[in-house]
Amino acid sequence: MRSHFFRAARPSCAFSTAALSLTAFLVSGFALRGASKASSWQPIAAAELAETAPKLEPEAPAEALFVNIEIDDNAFPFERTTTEYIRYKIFRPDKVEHITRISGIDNGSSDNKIELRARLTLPDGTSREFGQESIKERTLARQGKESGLLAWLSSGGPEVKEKFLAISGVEAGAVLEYRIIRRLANPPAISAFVVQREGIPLRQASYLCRISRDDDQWGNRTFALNLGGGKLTEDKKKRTITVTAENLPSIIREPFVGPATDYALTIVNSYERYERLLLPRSGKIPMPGTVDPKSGPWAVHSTLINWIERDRGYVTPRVKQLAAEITMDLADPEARARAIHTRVQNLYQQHRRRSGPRPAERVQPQSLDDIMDVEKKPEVIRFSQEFVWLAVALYRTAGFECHTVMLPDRTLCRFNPQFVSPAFLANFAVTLKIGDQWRFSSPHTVNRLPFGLLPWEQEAQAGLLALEKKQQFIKVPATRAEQSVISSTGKFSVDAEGVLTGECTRTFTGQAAVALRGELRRLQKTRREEVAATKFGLDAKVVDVKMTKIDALDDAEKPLLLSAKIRWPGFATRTKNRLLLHPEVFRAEAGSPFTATERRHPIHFPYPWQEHDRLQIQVPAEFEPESPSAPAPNPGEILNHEVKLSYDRANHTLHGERSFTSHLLDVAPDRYPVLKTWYDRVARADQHEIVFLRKAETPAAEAAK
Amino acid sequence: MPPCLRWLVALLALATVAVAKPPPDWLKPLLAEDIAALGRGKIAVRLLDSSDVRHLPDNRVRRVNRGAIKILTDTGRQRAACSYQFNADIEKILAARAWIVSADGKKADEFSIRAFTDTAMKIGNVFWPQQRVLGYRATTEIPVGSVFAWEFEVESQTGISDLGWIFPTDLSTLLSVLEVAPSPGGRLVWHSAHAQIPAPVPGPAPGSLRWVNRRYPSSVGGERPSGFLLASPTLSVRNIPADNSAIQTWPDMAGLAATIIEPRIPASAAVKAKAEALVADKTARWERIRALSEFVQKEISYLAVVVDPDYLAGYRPHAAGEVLQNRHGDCKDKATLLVSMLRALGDEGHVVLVFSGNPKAVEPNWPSARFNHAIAAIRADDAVPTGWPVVDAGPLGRLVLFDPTDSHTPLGILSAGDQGGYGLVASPRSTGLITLPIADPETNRIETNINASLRADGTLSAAIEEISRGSIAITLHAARESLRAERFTPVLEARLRDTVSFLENLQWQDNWDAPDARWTLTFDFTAKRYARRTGGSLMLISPQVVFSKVRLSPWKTKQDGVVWSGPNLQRKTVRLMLPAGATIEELPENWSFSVPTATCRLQYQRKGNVVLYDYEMTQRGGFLDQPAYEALRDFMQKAQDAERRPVLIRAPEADSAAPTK
Repeated sequence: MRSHFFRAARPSCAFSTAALSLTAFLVSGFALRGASKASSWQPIAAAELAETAPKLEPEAPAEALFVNIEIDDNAFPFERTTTEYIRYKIFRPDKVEHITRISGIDNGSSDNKIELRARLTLPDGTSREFGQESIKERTLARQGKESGLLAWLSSGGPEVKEKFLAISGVEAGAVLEYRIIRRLANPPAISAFVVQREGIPLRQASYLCRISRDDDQWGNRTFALNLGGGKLTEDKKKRTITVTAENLPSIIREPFVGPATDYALTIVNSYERYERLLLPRSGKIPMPGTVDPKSGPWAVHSTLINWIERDRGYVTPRVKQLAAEITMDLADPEARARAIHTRVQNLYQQHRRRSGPRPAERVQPQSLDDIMDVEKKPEVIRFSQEFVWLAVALYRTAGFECHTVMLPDRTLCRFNPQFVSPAFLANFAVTLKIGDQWRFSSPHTVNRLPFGLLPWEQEAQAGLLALEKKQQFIKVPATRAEQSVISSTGKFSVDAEGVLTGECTRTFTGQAAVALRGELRRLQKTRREEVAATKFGLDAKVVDVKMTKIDALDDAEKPLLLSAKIRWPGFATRTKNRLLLHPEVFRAEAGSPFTATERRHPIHFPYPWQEHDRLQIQVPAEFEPESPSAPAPNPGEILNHEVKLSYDRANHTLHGERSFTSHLLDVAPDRYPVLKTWYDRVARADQHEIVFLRKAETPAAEAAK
Repeated sequence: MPPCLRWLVALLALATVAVAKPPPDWLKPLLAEDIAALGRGKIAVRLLDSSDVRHLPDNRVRRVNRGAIKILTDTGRQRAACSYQFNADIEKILAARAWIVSADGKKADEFSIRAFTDTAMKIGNVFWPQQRVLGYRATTEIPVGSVFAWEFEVESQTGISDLGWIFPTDLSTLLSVLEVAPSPGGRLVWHSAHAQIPAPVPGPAPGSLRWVNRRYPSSVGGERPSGFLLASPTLSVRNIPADNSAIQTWPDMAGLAATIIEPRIPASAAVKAKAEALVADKTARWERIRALSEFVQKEISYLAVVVDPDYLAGYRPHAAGEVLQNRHGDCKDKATLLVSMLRALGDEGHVVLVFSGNPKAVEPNWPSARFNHAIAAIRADDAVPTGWPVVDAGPLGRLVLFDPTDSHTPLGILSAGDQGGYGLVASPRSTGLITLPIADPETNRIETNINASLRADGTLSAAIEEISRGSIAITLHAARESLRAERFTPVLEARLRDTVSFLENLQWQDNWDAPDARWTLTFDFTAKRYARRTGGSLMLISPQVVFSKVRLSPWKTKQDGVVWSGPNLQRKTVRLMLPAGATIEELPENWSFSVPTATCRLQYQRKGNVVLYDYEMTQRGGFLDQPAYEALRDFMQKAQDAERRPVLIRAPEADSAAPTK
């Protein structure tokens, strides 16, 4: 097979200062210096030694006085040297064991090396260095899966070694410095550095990267996300990029947070080749050639994926036959699209769950026919994207306008189209036009998604269409709240002792069902029932929940349904003359998720959703409601909550209907008080009690006497 | 590459990949057995779990472990894995093999040791480099219906630990066999406290014994309650060599431990100087000892570094001077340093071996090396306050126990994890085990005083003082100390959520008194709409103001065991002032309830427009079997239900809630 080059127009080295990130690896926060200067430590000022209390955050057990990260990419893509130099001021030695022991992993290859050094300076100025002689090396793993010649030659396969340095003699007031040099062969093209750390504030941070000398082949883009008051600068002459920042807070844990890039300084170092070597599979799709820069910075990436999609997804006669089979007898476009989605999804799940031995020799697919032959050809390597190409081919064959769409990931960072790097659009799905709307299909995800839904983290931003020599983004909306619904129904009775018994169901649709369906699907029956029982939100320590049904585990198009019988001793509170009960059985103990008065990080919800509860509770005939009331509603367009209560005297039955809607995705920290107050009101309304008085004791009965 | 070399490489490659062969001979009879009943509704059945152990001369032992699992369902494929955990310093793996046997039992793919993975053992985030795990996983490749089988052949030093064997209960099992042969001229002794251990029969080798268990069901499944101590069907077997040199009594074990530990205790000049410096401004003996104990607790951080590659390495501490210089060490290092400092000042101390976290682990009638932790013992005197953990160690006199590894528990309290079992003083003068004391409920108590007033609009203002002592105080203070002040506030806010919906103006401060192990937390707040209006003029008020849901999980596990419950006492006094003009509609009736392990009493009283509420709960603690645990669980639930009963008042203001249709 011939190889071809795909040439992109050369972007200039570009930098940006907004927000975004990638996961890649997290540098624990150390500093650096050129490898050749590894033994030189910077002098410590007397004032630093004399400090006795943290400056940035009271009670911090230590502060990082500085963190310097220096990347030497002169030899990229063959080698990268990362030097980290960090200086800590220690205030509570017993609270910072995680920084007085450090370790680095050698991946076993002789090209990947780590050097650790440390210096401890006590408050009296005496210092001690810890070098190679203090480092303990231990083999963490010998991987033995190379069961062939390689295993014989290497006597046990690749090794993973840990180099471990424990600093001895740490005292309060000491200054502890680390210098860590990592030499990495064949470094990844995209790396991310999160500078801040949990619990340790940082006074000064600096990042310096000497970018690759190979600017004929490689372009570098560096992005600083959440830079705050910091600075990003480029020195074109020296070919360096520098990021500096001061007084960065420690990272803290709070509920409902977005990606770390929402609140931590993150630097993304991204390289991209100007030329790509493309290996055709079908041999029928011409090479795209050079992409004109005027097409837009993303046109290179969209062109590349467009070519791959058309080449890998080249329509064969079997694909045409399958498309016809699937859509036969279906006239409605939505039904046709849904049927194709479901078929490809089933095929992908069949591939994932195929049991039996994997053939020792694996082969690349030759066409989509190989992708479809899951059972017959277990030796074929099928990456999940192959099912995207298959879906595109089927949709197109069935007459739909459709494209591969590249999507960002909200759990990693917020997408900014100005940050041009394929790392930020790493997820693929299919988008197709039905009527005048772009609809989505993601048949290749581990957890089954219904037609129209994307994984929630890939929604609510933008998507790049895989078009040839063209850059076109489309808006990818979040799944509407009414599509992700948790509905509960229940028919209960409570006895005079306050014990609640009855049957209930809970259904989940849309995003609310996706992860749960996957979680339950993976479990054995007994464990599945135990886990499903917890999904009613009741405290298993008090409430006995016996599952009676779990339905639609394998059908993403139907609501996931859980049914159970419950028994809840002590549900209603008995007093001398009264019975007090919470009509909202499933919510009465939930409380607000926001209990803290203060908030530092932005609030982030994964997706909009609704809750609908419709419950009835029969109470003992000898009790009558006493001045019954319903909680005040909490109406709104973005957040809405309402509880309606009524009492059927003839049947001694209390009816309750609760509706909750949240269209929220992101809330700034300064709006937190409003959000908290709203949730406090909701919690209180959900805990609303109805008092029932023993009939003989009602004032009316007394008066009648 | 020359053609001959190519052939050689090809031959070698063929020799090392999995090769289809018949299954091993030892497996064939098991493959023929009918397991339909055992496998009904199961994901997999264990066909075999066996160990053949031969004690050899020169303190060596050779062991062959074999296992086989029949995979019955797709989920059961996760069980197609084997591993052997070993100490790389003292054990040598001679061979390891695994097989995937076809469903018809005729063909087997064999995998040699080169296909196995060798990893350092990891517990939590900590790697234990001496402890290795050699394993093979066939979970992705094994077809349903196949059998996964394995074999490990190992040689090691004999060591001082017993041979331990657990008849596995995670899967229904066809056959489980342990066979042990003593060293030449030696004999075997064995012990098990579990009723399910079968009696041994003589094995084929002289003096050998064989334990066999056939066709028994699995007993896993069901959540274990918190504090559950599993009573595994465990068997301990020991070889007594011809020279009778094995441990046979507790003084034997204490003497051996002393020979390992005592040489590390003598104080270097630096240790003596540091000890003297720490007590320089102290005169009373226990003040001096407290200064030393706090130093070792706080300034020596925990780090286990084992240097020696022998079977006693796990018992051998670093020299005290080395620990002081490093400022880190493990439990035996820290205990050694403290004892060294004590002796440097002319005081007395010893290292004590215990089993932390399981008071049932050390069995008094089976002298053994079954310890996992080291603490310190200090000579007691008349100045020791009542309630301190003092034991009578016979010829060693009365000793105060202290755990320097636990950085939170001060001198005068024994760490909760060390309480209730047995310990052994590492001294040649030790005559036997010491019983580790359990603190009484009065020692571990929390007392809450609440002064609150309610306005007519339902707003509550409350001032609260919580004084905790003993283990409760240590736990609460440790949680507080692990958070900074700004991060403790959200924790307190979350705690108040159960009773307070609209919290405002929360202020708090705390104080830790280490010598008395007393933590005081005072806080005050305002809670709007604390009193819940239900319609009309009726208001519901939770008189407890602060309420902590303490609920016990139901006992769902099918496994044998008991729950260890610590003793404690809770008292709460609430003084709640009602708004002027309010009338009490209903005051909860006084309530009390008892079970053998706990008592609770609630009292309500009205004085003018003040409601007085007193609460007291005592848990006596101890080992609880299932009925006792369920009784305690039921008791706790009843007590919480009783405490939730509100005070009902008629308030003068009108209702703001919407009426129900």
